Amino acid sequence: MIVSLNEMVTVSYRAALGAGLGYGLAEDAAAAAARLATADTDVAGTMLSALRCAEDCGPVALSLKNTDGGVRLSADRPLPALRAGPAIADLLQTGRVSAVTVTLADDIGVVMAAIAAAGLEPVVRCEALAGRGCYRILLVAAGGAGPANPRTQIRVTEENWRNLLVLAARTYVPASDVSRLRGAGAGLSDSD
Amino acid sequence: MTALDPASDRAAGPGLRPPSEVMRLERMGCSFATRLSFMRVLVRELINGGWRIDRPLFDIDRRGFGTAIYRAASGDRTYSLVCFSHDLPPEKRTDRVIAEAWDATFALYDGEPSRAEIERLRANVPKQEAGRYLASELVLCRANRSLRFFDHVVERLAAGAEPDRDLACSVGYLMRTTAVYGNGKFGIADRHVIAGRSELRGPFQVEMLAVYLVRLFTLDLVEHVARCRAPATFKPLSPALRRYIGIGNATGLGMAPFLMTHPVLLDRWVSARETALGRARSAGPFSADQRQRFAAFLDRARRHVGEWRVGDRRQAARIIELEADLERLAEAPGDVLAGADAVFRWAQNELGTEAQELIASLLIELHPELVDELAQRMHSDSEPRIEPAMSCGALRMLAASLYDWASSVDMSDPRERAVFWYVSEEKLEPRLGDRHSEPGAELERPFAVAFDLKELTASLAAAPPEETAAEFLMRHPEHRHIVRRIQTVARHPYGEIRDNLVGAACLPVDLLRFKLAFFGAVKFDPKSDRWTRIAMYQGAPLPEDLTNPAADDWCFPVLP
Repeated sequence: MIVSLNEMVTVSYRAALGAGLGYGLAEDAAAAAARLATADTDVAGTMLSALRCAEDCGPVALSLKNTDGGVRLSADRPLPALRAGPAIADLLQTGRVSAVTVTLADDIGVVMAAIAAAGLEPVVRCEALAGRGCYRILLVAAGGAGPANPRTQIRVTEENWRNLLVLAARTYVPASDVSRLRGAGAGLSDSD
Repeated sequence: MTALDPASDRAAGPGLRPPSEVMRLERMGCSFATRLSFMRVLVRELINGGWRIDRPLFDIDRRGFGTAIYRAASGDRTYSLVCFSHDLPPEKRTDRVIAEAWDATFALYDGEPSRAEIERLRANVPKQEAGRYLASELVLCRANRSLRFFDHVVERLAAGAEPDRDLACSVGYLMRTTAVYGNGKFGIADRHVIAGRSELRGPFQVEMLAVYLVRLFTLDLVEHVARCRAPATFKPLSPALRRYIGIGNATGLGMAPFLMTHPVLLDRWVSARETALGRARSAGPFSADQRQRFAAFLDRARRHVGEWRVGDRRQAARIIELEADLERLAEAPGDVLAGADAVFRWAQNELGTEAQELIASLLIELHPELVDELAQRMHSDSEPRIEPAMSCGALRMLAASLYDWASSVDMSDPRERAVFWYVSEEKLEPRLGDRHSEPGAELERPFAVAFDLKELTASLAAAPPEETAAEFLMRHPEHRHIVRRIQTVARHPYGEIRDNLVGAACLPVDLLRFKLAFFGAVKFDPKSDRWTRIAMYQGAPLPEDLTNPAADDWCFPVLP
């Protein structure tokens, strides 16, 4: 099926909340989904995997260690991309950090999308390091590709989309007689 | 600093009203449309862009049911409103919360639909949210007939008579929309599809175009049904009354969260309006012509307010006060009417908030040459951003200075956190719940700004002042949304509502009126603290008027 970019972003935000990310990280997840959508990738599938990984990992306490030429973003376990991406994007924008090393539990593409969403796409490069999920993300001279145009027709599999909606639905409040009558505050007739 | 650079305007004239004055709920709930409102901007585009509007299809039966298409063309682009008019049984009119059928449903199509496309739309558009759409559809909406007015107009026109003037005035529309969807909803085109088109670049312009065309359909429909009923005696609406009749709308909570989730856009809208007012006030003493025009606008506004009748006690009392205030202005001594700044200063000192906001609208109306270009600056594609290099010390100071209003919220008082905003499972729409008696508060949307700020402040107090926001947020991701908000509002000072939106005193209808005034709505008619009825495009020029540059003069419409 085809969904719009706005549907993808909105559902990603709500699904991120449903997966246990806080409001701010959910905003970052939605922004990352929008960036992923500029490429012809399986956005829904990628986001679903990333959200499940973040949920499985649960809250993660991050710390920084200085390394040669940069810092290492670490925790007591490999980091979910939706947690690492915004933190790396922040660090690279401080002017104090030019390279971040990280060990990820999932897709580096989601980290790079989060970094791109922060406007850093033209000035970062990613290197794979030895070891599973190990990467080094560096600030480089400007000159890379600018942001791609957003797409409006995003192809998703019905299963992935349904599963994203299931995560999003965790954030909805079930209706009651009171909420039907009072919650929207609307009248009972639209024919006046 | 915003792109509009309010500081430079402040230096150039009497100054812009500060956000602490403008972005309060009580004042927002007294907003009026201005010539920068989106309907006004769209109509100017229709006039200045030489748009051509016609009706290539009107396959409607004698009872008013069938299909019609309205075509609006500008330059080499064409937009088509595809209208489906339905036979709606009375039992399906009763409860809007579960409504699944409407008198008429519409899609604004990008281009001219083929026969096959029309059939695809026919299979989906009547189902509205339950249908699926493509990027060729720009807007989706529906409307119901006014049972108070539609049949009355049919009967009167069929008998060769004009509709009752009092009824025309008290209702003001033949049909009212119950939802207007844009920007990617249910698969329709995302906003960025049209964001690069000069004719529709401004905020909500494509939605405004759709609603303008819906209004034409309602006017044609009522005349068609009346003509079919009694062709021998039928007379059409007089041009003046046809122009007066608008299109209705009822807006509930669904519209309110937008103002919280789009601080950059909100800042653009308000900055433009306040800059317009600032420019008008800086224009010096009234010339003789301006004094005459201001008097004429004021007279029209007084008649408009005189025709504005509502059942809501709060708003009815405000209208009575407004009428008295406008009378005082009309009878004010000459030095009060020396110029826009003198008028506005006097109003600020002497008159109520409704009158101040109405007068602001009139002063802006006087100066198209100074303000119309500001409409080009009311859109924004930029998003709220975190500034990770900011130190925690600077962030603390920023929060304290920008959010001084939050310190007046008594966090220990349960009434200050009486409600919560949420998304309903049933309709996927924003709702408001009572925190102390309804379930779901743990799923609330992040609109308790003062409370989030308090928690952030406590965490910042324990952080080293020189630590960057990046490092702080690495340890405290729970504060990312409020830090992003504070830093965004620092750059976009009109982007924050400076009141507690989860307190018992919050009246969402104030948010609705504010936003609807920016749309260009008139005759706000609150039906509860959570929804309001309005009229749109009342008095707006019809397609045959668009070649007349004077057609842009339709603020504060009055019964002809």
